[in-house]
Amino acid sequence: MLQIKNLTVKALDKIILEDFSLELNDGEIHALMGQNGAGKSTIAKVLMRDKNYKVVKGSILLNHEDLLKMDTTEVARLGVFLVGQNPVEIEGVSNAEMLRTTLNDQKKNDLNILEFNKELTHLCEKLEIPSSFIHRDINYNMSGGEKKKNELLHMWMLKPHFLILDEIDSGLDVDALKLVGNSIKEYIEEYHPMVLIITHQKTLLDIVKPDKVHVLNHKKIVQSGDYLLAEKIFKEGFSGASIIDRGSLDA
Amino acid sequence: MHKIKVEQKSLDLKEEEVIITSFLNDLKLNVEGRVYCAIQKFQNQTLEIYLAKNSHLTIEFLLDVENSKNEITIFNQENSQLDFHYACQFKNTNELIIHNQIQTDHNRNALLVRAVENGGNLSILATGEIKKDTKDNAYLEEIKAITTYDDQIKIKPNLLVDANAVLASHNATIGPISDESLFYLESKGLDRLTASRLIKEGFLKGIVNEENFDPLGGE
Repeated sequence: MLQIKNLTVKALDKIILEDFSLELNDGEIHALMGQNGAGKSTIAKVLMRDKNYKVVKGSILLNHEDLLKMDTTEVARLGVFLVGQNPVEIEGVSNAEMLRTTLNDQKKNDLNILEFNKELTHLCEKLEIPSSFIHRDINYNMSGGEKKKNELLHMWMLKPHFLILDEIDSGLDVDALKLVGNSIKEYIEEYHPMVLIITHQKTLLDIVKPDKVHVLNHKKIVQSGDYLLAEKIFKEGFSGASIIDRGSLDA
Repeated sequence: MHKIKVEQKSLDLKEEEVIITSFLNDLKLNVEGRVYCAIQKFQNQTLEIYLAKNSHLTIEFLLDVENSKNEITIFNQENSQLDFHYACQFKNTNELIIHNQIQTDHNRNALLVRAVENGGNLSILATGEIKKDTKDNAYLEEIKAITTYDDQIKIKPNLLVDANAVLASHNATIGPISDESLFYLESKGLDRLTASRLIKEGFLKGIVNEENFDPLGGE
């Protein structure tokens, strides 16, 4: 369970989020929508404890543990997994090397390499990427679509309990978007993680139906609803969606 | 690919792929045809490379150096090509001097140097010299260094071009590991030390064929 209460966040001395609250129960899928620059990615970065974002007020509890007392590594080891809009390219560090090192740490050096390789090969087939990706440098010289699939490869290997998908659908063609969406859906059905989807697009939410949809504006959530709210936004834009009042839904 | 321990002052390489595991204080390499050469150890030594006409040498180094002064001099005969990839991790006080002299025509040289600080200082002096009355030469010098502690890295890239028909460029970059890369690897569950190590090793291995070298740091 994730509980964000009255969070105020600063970056470069500018307040990005103010009095932001959000709650996700185990296994729930929430979508966070909002206009460009509303601060959606900020919440993803804050949850992952990016040092560039300073929390000046409020609290974040994940399964009753104080996330604000943790660093990025500790948060990741709790099972939080972020896919960013533009995954970083790391020359010279291969997918296999990173995953092997992380999983070896998790399993206290008891990783079965044969099983590890088998699982990676199987996942490459599933994600329709060549098995050479296993030994390719992380996201290095990959297209936008390949990077997102590569991140899903990491997700399937690391098996997180809380997915934060920050515009994972941006820059994907129709087929890649379907594949990415279906892979996430399959993962959710198999592992039942909490999911926070940040998106501007309908297609992903059509595949991965959210339990709740929130609209971020003026540094806080101004409206919440179910999937119908997302549909309304897609149809009428953010101004048209103002008919749903957050207060009435919370009640 | 065969491994050799060089015990003479001069070595002729012709159309072959070799790994040089060690050599004496000074070594003169005479290259003919297409040659690949990996140098596994290079510490307080001098290397002279002579590229014969129409030859193509790919030479790679992946080194752990400590209190070392290494000097490399390269001479090109006509229509030769050099791919020079020097990657090192250094401790204490170190110096690397590279001098490439081009006195003939139609040569293609690319010198890539990558260095990672492991608690120490490094001074790199790299000089590319293209002599008068030569033509159609291309020369690239790219030196990148990652610094993580408070010690010093000095890079002095020199480009001495005395000819008109030449394409020459050089660049040098010194900086810490990017926060973005560290955050990314930490967000996958790696601790900061491990993430830094992977990035630094990756930065060096990015320009060499890793299989031909022992792991860095004697792992």
